[in-house]
Amino acid sequence: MPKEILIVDDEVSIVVPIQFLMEQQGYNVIVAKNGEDALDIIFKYRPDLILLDIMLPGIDGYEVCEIVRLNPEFRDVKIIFLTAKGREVEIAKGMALGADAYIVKPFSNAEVVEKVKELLSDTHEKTGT
Amino acid sequence: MKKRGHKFWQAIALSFAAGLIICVGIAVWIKTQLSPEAQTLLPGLLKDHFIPLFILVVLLLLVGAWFLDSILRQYIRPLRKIAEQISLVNPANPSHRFEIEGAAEIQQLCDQLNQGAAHYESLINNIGSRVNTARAQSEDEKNILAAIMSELPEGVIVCNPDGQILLYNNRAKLLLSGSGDDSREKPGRFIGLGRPIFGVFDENLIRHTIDQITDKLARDEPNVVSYFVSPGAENTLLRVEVVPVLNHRRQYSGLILILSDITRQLESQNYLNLSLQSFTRAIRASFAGIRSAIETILDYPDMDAGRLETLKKIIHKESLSIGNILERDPTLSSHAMFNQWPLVRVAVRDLFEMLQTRCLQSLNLHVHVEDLSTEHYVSVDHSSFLLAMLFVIQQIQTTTGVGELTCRLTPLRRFVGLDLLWAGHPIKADVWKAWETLPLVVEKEGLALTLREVIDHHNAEIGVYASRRLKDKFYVRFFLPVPYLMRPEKSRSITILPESRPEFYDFDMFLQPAQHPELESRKLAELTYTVFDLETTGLNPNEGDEIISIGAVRIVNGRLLQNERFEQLVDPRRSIPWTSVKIHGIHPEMLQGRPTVDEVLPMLHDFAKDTILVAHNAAFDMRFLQLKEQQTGVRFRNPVLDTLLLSAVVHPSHEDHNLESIAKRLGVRILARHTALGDAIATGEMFLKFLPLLSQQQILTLQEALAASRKTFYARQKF
Repeated sequence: MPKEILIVDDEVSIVVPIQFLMEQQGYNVIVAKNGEDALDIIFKYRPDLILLDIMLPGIDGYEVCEIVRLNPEFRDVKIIFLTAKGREVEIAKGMALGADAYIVKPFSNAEVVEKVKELLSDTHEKTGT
Repeated sequence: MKKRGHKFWQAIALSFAAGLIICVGIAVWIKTQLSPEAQTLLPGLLKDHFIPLFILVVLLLLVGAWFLDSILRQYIRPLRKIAEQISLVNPANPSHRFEIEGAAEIQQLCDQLNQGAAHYESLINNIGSRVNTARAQSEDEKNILAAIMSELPEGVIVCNPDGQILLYNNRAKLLLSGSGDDSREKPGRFIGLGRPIFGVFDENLIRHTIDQITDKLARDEPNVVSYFVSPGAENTLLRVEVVPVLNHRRQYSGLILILSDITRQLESQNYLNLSLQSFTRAIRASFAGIRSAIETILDYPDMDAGRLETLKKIIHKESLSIGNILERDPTLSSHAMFNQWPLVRVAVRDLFEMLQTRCLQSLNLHVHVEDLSTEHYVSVDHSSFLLAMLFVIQQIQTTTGVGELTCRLTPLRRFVGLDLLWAGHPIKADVWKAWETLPLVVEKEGLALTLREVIDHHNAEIGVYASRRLKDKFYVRFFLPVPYLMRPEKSRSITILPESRPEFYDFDMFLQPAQHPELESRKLAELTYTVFDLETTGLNPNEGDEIISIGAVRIVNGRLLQNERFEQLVDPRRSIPWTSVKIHGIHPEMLQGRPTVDEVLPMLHDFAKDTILVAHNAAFDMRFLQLKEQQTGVRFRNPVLDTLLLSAVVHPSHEDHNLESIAKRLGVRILARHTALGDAIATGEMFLKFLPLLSQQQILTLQEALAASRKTFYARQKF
């Protein structure tokens, strides 16, 4: 069964290439433009991995991450922060919320693909055992 | 008629008694010595010539009385006046000359005394001129010092170990009280000689700073400076550098506070930080789009035309976007690059300890510190960061209702996490996000900065998390960068006073103990006074007369301070009779728009705080103040000395104790008579001249002065 990836970002310039990229890797992609929609989708469809921007209108990425992590049911959902907030302190803050990875914009496509693959193969192995 | 003293009547009584004894004596003599014929003759003689004899006796008595009286007037009373006035020559008024009416001998005595006084005066002048020469030399130095002080772009305050201000420059005054019109000056922030520094800066802040300095001195550290940030006048932010003063024996003997206005720098720095951050982020975001798009194109050359077109358009759009961002170019104002709000290296252990104390003090909340095994350091501005932590703790307290918290240090790779843990309820994200935009105020102590601004300034971050290991435990974490580069702090060297103190302002106050409530036993010469005078619409406070002008000056350590004065016209809300306008020259038009007594009396109360009030005929002025107690809510509980009574204490034989006469006696010039400030100054100078005269009468303490005042005759007159 193909893995489900949720992309949460309000910028089209990011969503289009990344969506294409992920689909090329064989994943199903859902897109959310803001935090509320993202949470709706998460609770409805339970994606395997979330590519999460932080600077979103309304609820920001930090909150989304926190809410997901607070719910033990979603413990296996992988979260990768994909954001322009690149200061070291900001990275530390984000990681402390329980994200699995933190990618700073601008990134290389290869970087994203590699990380996603890495995180999803773990799960794959886990569920295998 | 001239008042006759006790002595006169005593003399009369005495002469009567003497006369009586003589008569009795004569009678006895007649009875015993004269022959019986003469004895029987005598009553007959008396009876026949009774009337002339009687008249003779009365005349003799009158002559005796007149004789005694003239002796009194010619000799006794002038001698008493001389005795009193001698004390005037030395030391109050050396040019005083005796002009006393009396017998020729008295005049002679006066002449001799005047000669002596002339000698004395020339001696004083001689010494005086030598002292002046020496003074003139140090005057140059003083002027240089004064010029430097006034030219400094920074405010300077020097205070003694008890926190009394000894010296300050105008810039300090401006920074703290603003440059507004004096009549609108906010009470409570008076900066002045002898005033406590705690009235100017928060007491906790100063004490904490002093503790730090004492600590550093004890450890013999080379850099003994401490900083804090405090709000100034008119919404400014001041950076205060505190340097200890050591005497020549390297003992702590005072503090120098150097004030700089960092509002501008802070504003432009904040602006700079924010602009830079948003600039960088915007570039990152746009650039990400370009990179991702182009990499996709390169990696998938076979993609369909439609998608290719979209990606190309994305690249184009984002390139334009970056172009726009660069156009904006936050004009980096070059002078704002340096950091005026310094961060100091501090051990986390110390920081936690301070937090514990403050929490207990201000929030009554117990903070438990988790064991710190290793030494960790952070770079913070003590006061603002502590305040930030305190603020967050307070927010946690009010939101979740917890009664205690735990402090914990979590070392991360390039950061330290300072965690504040609590057990119980989590805090919703929108709640704690709102904290960041709130100004930092805890129990009335605060900064005009938001939590976010303080965090940003420390290059830190803050987040709220749920503990993953422990159930129902949550924490706020402050991420602080580890100071890996030891920036050498620009240090100021310790100021060491030379052994002979240069007299600029009042360094004697270095040794003076702090003012305590036990004022009554303090020496008059050491106390601080507020000399004041009121101009009113009339002389009847009980019948609706009102205050129209208040003038006051301060006497500190035996000196009248010319530049610390209080002068205020008051709107009496009633008409002013022409007779009083003629005296004080204040026309009703001059009082239009002036503050009323409700606004001015609290200011006077603050100006005179912790001092002794002095006024001429104080009963009159105090009555006005007392009648306003209900209306203004201001009670003057200061001890009061009346110069009119003190004059009667010092010169009881004189009868004229009005301002002009006393001034003439003491050699005080009154400028601006019948203005509140002019009279206050004259009263003050008079008061200072009374002090040595009082000490000659063994009146040295406040208690003794009050007791003596009460006793004098004029105290019987009441308003």
